[in-house]
Amino acid sequence: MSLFTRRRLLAVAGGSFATGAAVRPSVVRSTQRLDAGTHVWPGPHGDHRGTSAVPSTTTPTDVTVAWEREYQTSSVSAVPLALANGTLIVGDRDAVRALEPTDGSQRWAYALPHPFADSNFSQRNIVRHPLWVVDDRVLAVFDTNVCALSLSSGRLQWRVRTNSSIDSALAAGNTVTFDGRLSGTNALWALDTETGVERWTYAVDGDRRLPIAAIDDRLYTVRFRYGDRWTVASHNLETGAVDWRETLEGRLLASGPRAAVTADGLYAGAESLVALDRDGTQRWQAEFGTEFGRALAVAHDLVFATDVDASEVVALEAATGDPRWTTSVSTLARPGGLSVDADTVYVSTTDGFRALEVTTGEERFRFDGASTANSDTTTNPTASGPVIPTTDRLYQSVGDRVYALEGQRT
Amino acid sequence: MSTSTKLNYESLGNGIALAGWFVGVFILVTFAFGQALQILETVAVRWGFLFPDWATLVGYAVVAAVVTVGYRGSIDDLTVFCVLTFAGSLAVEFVFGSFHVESSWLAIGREFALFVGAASLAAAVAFRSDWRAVFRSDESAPT
Repeated sequence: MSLFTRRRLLAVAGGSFATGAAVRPSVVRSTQRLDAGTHVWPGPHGDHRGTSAVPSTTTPTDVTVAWEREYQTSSVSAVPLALANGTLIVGDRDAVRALEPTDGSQRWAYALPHPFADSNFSQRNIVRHPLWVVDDRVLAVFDTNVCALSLSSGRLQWRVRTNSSIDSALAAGNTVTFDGRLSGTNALWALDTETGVERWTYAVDGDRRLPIAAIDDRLYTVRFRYGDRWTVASHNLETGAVDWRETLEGRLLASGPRAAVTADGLYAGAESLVALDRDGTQRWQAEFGTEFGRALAVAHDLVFATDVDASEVVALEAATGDPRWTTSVSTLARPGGLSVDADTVYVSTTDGFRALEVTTGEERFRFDGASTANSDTTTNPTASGPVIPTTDRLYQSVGDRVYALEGQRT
Repeated sequence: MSTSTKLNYESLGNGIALAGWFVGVFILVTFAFGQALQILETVAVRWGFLFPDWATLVGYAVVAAVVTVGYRGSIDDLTVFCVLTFAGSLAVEFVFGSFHVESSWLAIGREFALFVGAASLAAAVAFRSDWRAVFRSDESAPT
């Protein structure tokens, strides 16, 4: 008697279809959370609000280099960093690496295998900006692949292939949003960070929308428009639906938008720095040079931004846009970064950073010992990442080097 | 004294017939097992491997070779099975929906179950039913 009788085959088919009907995406994906998480610096500009602010209260008076490592970067920006759960995550050119913060030793490295990998990196999956850490996962973009890796082991947990490059990704709660073409649809995508299963898509007009910041249950995106206009929109983070959109004059930076959001408002840097209320009403606009707001930080009711044309750091009142102070910094990094802790704003420079007093802009100390000399000619020698201030140490990437700096306190 | 090689036309004919079988089966299995190979590739990625593009062709060729050598049934039945499996895979994706199989083991298992369901249904029709009756003319039917 045959093992595969018609009755048995039909029973297998029925059971399989019942399984397929029962296991819907809503069963697979996790319940959405909107909390900010507990990681110190989970993304490229702090948390998903993009304020580049940390609540550290023990600012050092000087720093010395604890360790430094050299990596390769795949873009004009400095090597991307994230800090979470006592692990420093580094985006090397073709691998994500997890380092021990105390001595810089490598815990694990993960490179997404490429079918035609070769030694000169022309056929590798390149790590793209930015890296995010959500719970116990590292979210990384390898060319057109969105991947989740275990924070403790580096093991691949899920991968979602897209059909296009990804210009911007942002993780908020346990949801990661990005722009891209997936399943033939050009859209803003939101995936569950635990499983990679889709939460929602937004593809009303097929335009590319870049997620720039999120707070509470709101996600903010920008959309490039033809001519000197761009649009910022507020989405419901649970459904993707648009609450409001506002078209603004000016040209977005080719390197991508930079924005931060607080309970009081949204701040986006393009040719000029624009402040919007949470309901989309434009509050003020500040113009300093041609790339004002390329580096941005928001804290202490102030907005800090760099004017690379004038080589200045400007602090503006968040409520009105009135300048509080201006400090000249001759070696501003391009692109650079800003970050803020309890009483210090750190300004990235081509050779390290300047630490300025938050309220006055006076220099407290500096680190100018970073070396940007390297053999990799693709690295931008003027690029520098934002300083990640912690209670014990400060971390920064300058060009293709990563520095851990020991704080000295008097 | 000279020697000449005699061409064994019987062996040549058998070889050509076998090659023809292989090509035909290869085309059929690319329809039927494309979904299964995608699921296999996904599992490999989760284990840290990524198949090169040519590996897909090798996979089809291996399946086609196994079927060519091992299958002794009717080519008509095999054709019906492969076409129905392909059509069934498309139909279950339409009916039950689809999400990225690379996302989680549960999602991978679901896709595999749906493929097994489509293949089982196709096998029940192709190998365990009198599907030829559908194409018989009315004249041949008993009166």
